[in-house]
Amino acid sequence: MKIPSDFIYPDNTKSVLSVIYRLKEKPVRPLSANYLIIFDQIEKLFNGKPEQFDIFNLTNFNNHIEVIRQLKRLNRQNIGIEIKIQDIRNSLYSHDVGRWIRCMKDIYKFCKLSDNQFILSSGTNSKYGLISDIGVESILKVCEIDPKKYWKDLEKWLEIKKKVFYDVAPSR
Amino acid sequence: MMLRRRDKRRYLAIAIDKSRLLDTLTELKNQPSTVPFENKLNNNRKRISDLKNRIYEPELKFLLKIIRRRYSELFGFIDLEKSGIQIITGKKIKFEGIFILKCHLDSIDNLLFTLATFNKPKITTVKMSGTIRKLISELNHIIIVFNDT
Repeated sequence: MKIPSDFIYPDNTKSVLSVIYRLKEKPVRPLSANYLIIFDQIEKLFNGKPEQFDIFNLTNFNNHIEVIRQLKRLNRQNIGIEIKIQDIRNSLYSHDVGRWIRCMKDIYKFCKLSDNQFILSSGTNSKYGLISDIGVESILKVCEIDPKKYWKDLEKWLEIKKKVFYDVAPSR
Repeated sequence: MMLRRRDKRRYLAIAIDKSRLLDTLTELKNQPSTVPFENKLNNNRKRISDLKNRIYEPELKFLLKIIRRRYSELFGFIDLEKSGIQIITGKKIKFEGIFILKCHLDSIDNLLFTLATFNKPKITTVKMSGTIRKLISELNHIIIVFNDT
């Protein structure tokens, strides 16, 4: 769907194509910027077949093997599985960090085998929670993931996702 | 023949939320600790109350202590000693809420990982450089942007 250049939105924002919105469900009207649909409800994943989503946000690292099993059952390709650094920052103990690394390695392996994309993001709201690029790369290195390969794959995945950015929900 | 070369180092500028640092100190004050330095802090209540206005050198030591503790928990004591983590202080280094850490190049990834998974206080890496002089000159530009956001 092509968006007219003079399209004005309620918040008076201009079209910024470098920005990608994170939405919980498909918008009813077309947006001025690209968007990705985030899904984070594990219960829905376990109980039934969830609607179309672009990114699955994994928040609980204790049952990641079960989550992988459910994602295998869904049999979808090109979805992003996101892990936020913020989630591990909230944890007090260092052994949780170890478990988190194991989870990341398992998720990365699953993503490689099933043509999905592993996403590592800071997930923060404050400037003090931001992670620099060298910080992200150091985390990837500790998890035995090649940073160059990771960035390249992420770029490719975003290119694929560009094709579905302007899709909207059917009128109700 | 032995080559008399010193290990390569990296200098990291890190930003810390000062209010969170105060919270962490007060939280740890109430907890019993086996580390002698922390016990010393527990006894000195006046110093902690003064933290609202400025950070003294003992607090820098405290910061180094908690970073080193987290590092040792994640990567072990041997790696901690190899890394040579230090906090750099000096007259020229007077940035609000920004501290400079020194670390050996081999252990820089581990240190960055430790800082990225740090919970209390939250620490973010602002800049990394091979020399202090270059780091300080670059920090002068960055801090204006960082404080405005």
